[in-house]
Amino acid sequence: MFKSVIYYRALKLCEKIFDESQYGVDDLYRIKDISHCLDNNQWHSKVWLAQELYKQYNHDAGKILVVGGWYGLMAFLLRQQWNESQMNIISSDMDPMCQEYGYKLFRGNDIQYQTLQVNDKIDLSGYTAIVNTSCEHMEPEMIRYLIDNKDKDTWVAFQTNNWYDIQSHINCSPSLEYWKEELNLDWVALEDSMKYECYDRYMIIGK
Amino acid sequence: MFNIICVKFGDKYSSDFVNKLYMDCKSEMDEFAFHCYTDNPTGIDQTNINIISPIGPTLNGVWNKLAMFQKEFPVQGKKIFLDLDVCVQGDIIEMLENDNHDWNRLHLVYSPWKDNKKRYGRLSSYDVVHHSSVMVWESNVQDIWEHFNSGLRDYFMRKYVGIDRFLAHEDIEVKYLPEHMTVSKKYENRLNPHYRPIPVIATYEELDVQISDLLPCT
Repeated sequence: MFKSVIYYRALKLCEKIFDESQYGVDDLYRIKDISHCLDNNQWHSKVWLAQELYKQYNHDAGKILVVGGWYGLMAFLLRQQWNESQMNIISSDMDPMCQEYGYKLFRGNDIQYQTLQVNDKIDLSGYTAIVNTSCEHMEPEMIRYLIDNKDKDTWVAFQTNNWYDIQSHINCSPSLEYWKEELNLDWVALEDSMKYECYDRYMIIGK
Repeated sequence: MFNIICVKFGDKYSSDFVNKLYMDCKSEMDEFAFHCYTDNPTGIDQTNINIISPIGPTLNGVWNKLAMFQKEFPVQGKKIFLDLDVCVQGDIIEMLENDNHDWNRLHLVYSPWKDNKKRYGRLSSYDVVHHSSVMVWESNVQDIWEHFNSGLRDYFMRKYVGIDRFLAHEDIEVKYLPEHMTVSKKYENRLNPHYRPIPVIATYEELDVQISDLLPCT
């Protein structure tokens, strides 16, 4: 699916959000949030993860859980790699609106959406990979929970950054090495960083 | 017992600001407990100041002020929160008591000058007419914390520049402290030129201040 289709849907969604603001829920910040979720850096860093995880995973079937999936761009880009339905892809986020808007943006791509708060009650059994590109937004204990409670052979593909200036970034890491030590995976298949204008993005894939 | 609370997270303000705020309060008031909610108590006068360590979810900067509203926050009774960049120059407690203050509602500083963006050119403020340099309450604030944590916590922190806008735009019911209680150092010359009693607190919101700037303003 072309990027232009997604952008067109995003524009139409922004129209709906504006209309809704006139007669119902007035939340125009959603327009900015949707714009952010599709900006070049988001797209670039998530393509990076999808392509690298695809290489490492090296299998057609499974069940991928994206946590902190926002409006679903990560799940959509994973689907571009695994375009057969034997790979289940679930995009989850604690924000209930992500489910509704995610479906509008990425419909037709066989993505399931869930409203899910990462806490110590979620059941991680059955997933073959857990993807989290929002580690900087999540408590370290919750990241730890994902690692400690997944099946032993389940892949993890995580990203974080060192962009401390953003108020919602409650769990940045100063370096890739520091973060790798903190995650303490049994096995690391790939560790890498990518430089962006305001920050470095770190990625670790392993088990 | 009255409780005075300040919040110090990160390195925007040093522990000297906490100690000075305590000394200011001590010089103006008698019966109160002083608490500092902080991630780093180094340098704070712990003989006189009760340190409260972080509880609840990790938050950045000003968002930690909301953490005082969770039911687990270990301070009971009447609470007066003061930003570290305020100057106490009178008896806050006496003033509130004389004013028959309603402690069952969250009170903030009324800042009507914020509603005129053309005049003051601050786009982010035009529809928020309060600020939280000073907050006063005893109860009925847990709903605020629960709303903040209703699944949209991260969204709120992206959406709003700070807690003033969060409180205003999420329709949180707040009341305002008496206008004569505080004076804004930034805006003091722009409002009520004929009405200027001596306020008990000077606030320095929207200003970059050094500790030497926090002199009594009377």
